[in-house]
Amino acid sequence: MMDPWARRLRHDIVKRAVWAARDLRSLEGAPSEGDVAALRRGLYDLRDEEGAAVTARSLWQRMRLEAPRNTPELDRFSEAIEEAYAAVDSLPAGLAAAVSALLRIEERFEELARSLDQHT
Amino acid sequence: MPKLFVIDDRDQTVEMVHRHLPQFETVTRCDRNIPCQVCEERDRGCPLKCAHDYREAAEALSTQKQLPDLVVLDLHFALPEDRLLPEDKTGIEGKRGMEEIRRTQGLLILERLRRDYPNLPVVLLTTTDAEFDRPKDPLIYFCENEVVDSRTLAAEITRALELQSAAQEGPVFWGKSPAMGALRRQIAVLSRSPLPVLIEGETGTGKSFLAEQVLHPRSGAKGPLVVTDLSTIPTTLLPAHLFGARRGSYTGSVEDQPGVFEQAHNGTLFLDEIGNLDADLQRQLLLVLERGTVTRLGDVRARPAAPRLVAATNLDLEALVREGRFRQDLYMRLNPATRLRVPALRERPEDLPDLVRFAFLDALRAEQLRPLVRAYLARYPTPDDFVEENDAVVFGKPQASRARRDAFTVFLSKTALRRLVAHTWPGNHRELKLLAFNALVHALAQHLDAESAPHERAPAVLAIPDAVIESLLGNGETKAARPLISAASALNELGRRVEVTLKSGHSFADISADVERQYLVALFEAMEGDLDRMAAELFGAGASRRKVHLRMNQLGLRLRELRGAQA
Repeated sequence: MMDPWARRLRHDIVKRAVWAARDLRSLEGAPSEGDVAALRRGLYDLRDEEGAAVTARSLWQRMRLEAPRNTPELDRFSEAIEEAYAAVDSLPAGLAAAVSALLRIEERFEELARSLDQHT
Repeated sequence: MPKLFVIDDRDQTVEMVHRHLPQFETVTRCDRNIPCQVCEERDRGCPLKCAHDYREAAEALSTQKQLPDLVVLDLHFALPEDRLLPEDKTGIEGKRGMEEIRRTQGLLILERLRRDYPNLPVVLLTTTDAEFDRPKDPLIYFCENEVVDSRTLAAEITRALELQSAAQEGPVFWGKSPAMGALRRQIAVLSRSPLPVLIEGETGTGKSFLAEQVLHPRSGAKGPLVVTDLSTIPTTLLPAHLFGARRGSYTGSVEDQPGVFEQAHNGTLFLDEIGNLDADLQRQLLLVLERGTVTRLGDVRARPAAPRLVAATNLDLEALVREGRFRQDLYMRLNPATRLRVPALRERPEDLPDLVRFAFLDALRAEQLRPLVRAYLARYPTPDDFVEENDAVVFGKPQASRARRDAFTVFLSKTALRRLVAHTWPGNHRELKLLAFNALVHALAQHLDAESAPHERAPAVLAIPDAVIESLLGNGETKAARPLISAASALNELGRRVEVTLKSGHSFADISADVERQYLVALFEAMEGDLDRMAAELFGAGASRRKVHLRMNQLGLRLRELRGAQA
């Protein structure tokens, strides 16, 4: 059973950041303005637990403090968030890199959730 | 276009629906009468695109003239306490208690929706590990994806809409006949199998209904349903349509195009009229089925393409195999041992009364008939409590006492019903639907043209005259007055007949074209080459001669040669 904190992380950050990237996985050629905006919104236009506007970075910093325990996967997740920011900020160039960087957030999240489960 | 209503604490779901799923319309909380897709407010962060909590949802639903076809509801709502259900939060303890309320807020909203709108279907966006008792309600569908994407969401929404539609039409479609009972039992088993399914049946028997609304929704496939009617696509475009094409691989191919096999990967591909494929396409189709990959025209990269194949035909494929017109190896790939045969309407007379009733109700609610129905209702004023959903079809004499005050009541006599049951229905459901539509148009038009004063009639009581049914079934006087028949009579007077020679290896399209060609030549001679008269005979008064000329060209009939032959 997934840790409640991890479930919140998935709802508030992962699901939001990854959705547009999943949709664009098989896109070939140049992204449209809408594609770029959707990818950006996944990191820059989120809401916190109370519905207030927040970025993925600041929400993650806040949530990290509430993590049920300290594991190396937390750092790896932080790195994935930062890599995604770097890739998304260089859009519209490097669409494929931005999509993979965002998808990596999901991979890191799964590792993190697994590590929390193992310690339960 | 199906209308969705999204209830989610974030705008992302509705944004993605707008961006990637243009096949759906969405309910918004604004009063603008234009779709979100074209609204300039959309990109300015419009907050009215979806409902973010229960209060907004209830407000939006109460202002809708017509309820949406489906609600897409999130489970987790991260919102301030005062926007969450229940309104009375005494007993909810601390941060943990509130977290639990946020985590399952969708269920509380669902409970209210069920109370206020019991017939509204809902897709609940949840996850496989979400801990809650899943409500046992046939109108609730679960999209259980940890992290969703638009393609998966579209598949879930489509599946829910299809199940919903099948649930409404299903009992009538299946009826009570033993043949349909056997088919239903066979489908219950086959729908769980990943193997291909071959559906045989006459035209209009509901083969596509089975594929789209029964087999695919029950298959549990993650991918979408893609439907292709092979008889409607020009032969030259079929390879690109089926297998995809790279930009520039043929004239007019301006962008990379995935074929239907690719699009239906991990889902269901419904190929209707598979008997129409030529030998080369049969060979290519077999290769794709064997390999589970497809290579687009002009490309070298093989892409995954492994849908579950559902093929349908109104031809006898086994006979085509014997005649060498359909590959035996492809036929065997279609899993003929478990083929489904959909019975024709004439084989299930016991179901006809219910099917007739359904066809009339369906036609009565059709968008195209709405102006005529509205005109009728305006002429024969209806009570304030009139509700379209209560419309009824009654077999018997039109009696005001049997008509509902709050709805439209259509009367068909017992004689008309007997005539309908005795009919052979070569076009099956399709023919029945058309008949119901035509009968309503005739009856409504007759009543609207009648001289009787409104007060002489009960509101919204419509009797379909027996003569209308008789004429539509083909034995009435009305048909004899149709222009095509009068043209034929003129030809008969000239002693001309259209002849058809039976030859093996000819498709139905070839035979139809041949008959049409002979008919046009005969008419051309009878009308002494006057294309205006031909147009009037074929298409009605005032029709353009160009229409006749165009059709003759399409059939390979050259005016110069015909005129030469006449001279």
